[in-house]
Amino acid sequence: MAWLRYRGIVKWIVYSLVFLAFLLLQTGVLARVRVWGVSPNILPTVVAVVAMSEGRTAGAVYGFFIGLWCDAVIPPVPAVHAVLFLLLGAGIGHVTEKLFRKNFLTGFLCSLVALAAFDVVFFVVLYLIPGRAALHNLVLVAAPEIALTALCVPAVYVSLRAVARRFGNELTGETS
Amino acid sequence: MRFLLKHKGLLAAAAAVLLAFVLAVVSSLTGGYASPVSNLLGTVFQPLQSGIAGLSDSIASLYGYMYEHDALKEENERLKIQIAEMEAAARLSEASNDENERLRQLLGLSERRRDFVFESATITERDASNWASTLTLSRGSANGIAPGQCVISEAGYLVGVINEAGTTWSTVTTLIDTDMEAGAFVFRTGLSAVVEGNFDLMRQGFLRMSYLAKDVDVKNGDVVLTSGIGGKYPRDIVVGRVTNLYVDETGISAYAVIRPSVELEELKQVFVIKSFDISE
Repeated sequence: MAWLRYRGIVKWIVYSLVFLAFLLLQTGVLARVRVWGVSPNILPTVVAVVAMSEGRTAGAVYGFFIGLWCDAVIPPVPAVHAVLFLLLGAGIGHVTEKLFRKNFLTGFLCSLVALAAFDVVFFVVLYLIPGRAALHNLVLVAAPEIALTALCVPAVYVSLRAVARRFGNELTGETS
Repeated sequence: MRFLLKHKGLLAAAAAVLLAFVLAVVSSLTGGYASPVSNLLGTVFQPLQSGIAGLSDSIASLYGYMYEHDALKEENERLKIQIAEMEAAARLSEASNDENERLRQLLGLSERRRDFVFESATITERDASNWASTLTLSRGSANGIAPGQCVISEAGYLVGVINEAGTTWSTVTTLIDTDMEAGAFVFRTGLSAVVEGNFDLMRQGFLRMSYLAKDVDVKNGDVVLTSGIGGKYPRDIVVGRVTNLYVDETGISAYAVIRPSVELEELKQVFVIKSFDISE
């Protein structure tokens, strides 16, 4: 079983490096791409695909730690990405474990649901409740953001699923 | 508690949420300085971000050169005319300055001075979120940058205020963000008001000047500057120009939409005012 543990560590290191690459892409390149007044946001997609591939516990832990990174480099509010990505990872992992096959359609839909859920909670807690914005702003920002991000989901999905297939599940030894 | 111990996943999730909450509290208690975790992660990430930002800027410049050449040429001609007009105005105001100086001496008033201490910084990240208008800079507390300091462009236009400072990086809340608020005045009339960010206007790149009377004397094109009230922003920093005047939601007062003088999308370098001393 020792070799399985070693493979698991390498897998999570690779997942982390892939996430860092996507974070650089998000903050350095995609943030400059403005269509309909918004930029795509691929970070919830990363959480969704990993949670779908690895399950709820791993998805929650991965979501939490990449959320800490996002909170450090994406202003303005600390801790919000860590908590939301943890919940998204746990929720998507739990649902896909029980109900859905692990394929592109599931990954695609989970990505969009993850982004929508993230936007709704983020907006309601930080903008709607404190009175900094009105409800119609949620639709004006979230709808085009989800549409734009949908175009980026295939590239994110292929990259992360390649990692999952290459290293498989370290506990069972099966490849997903 | 027994329930949590039985369900280890829930226990781990609760611990993670608690940790995140503690980090958020630490961050708020540090008065705008980054928490240790954020500072470490941001410091590690910042060199990579600078590299990507440089590459993106190069590609954007190349794109601009290839596809916007005619527009740039036209803008160049327009700016030459504008410079000539401003030089003429400057020559006229020089005479007024001389007279002002003579009158100050006559009345025994001390010389008006503006002493600023600047720190220059490059922008490594812009608008990382669709919900806020922020910039990340390549300098931090190691260079004397602190939360609450004013940030201006090379031309002296208001960019925003330092929101959070790490060791080697800092983030700026720009003047169009919903968290932005500053005392201001209209240069032509001296009318005092407050400029603040608004979510709808932020997405269009504007901000608003609020608390105006319905019959206020404000015209399109009026220049708006900071008033210095509150002490956060030095006085006489150019904010922007009025584009339109509207009656607000209450129907009792009015507000003006301001186009910022700074071009946030084109900014590459900014100056942080670390300290200022204005003597009148």
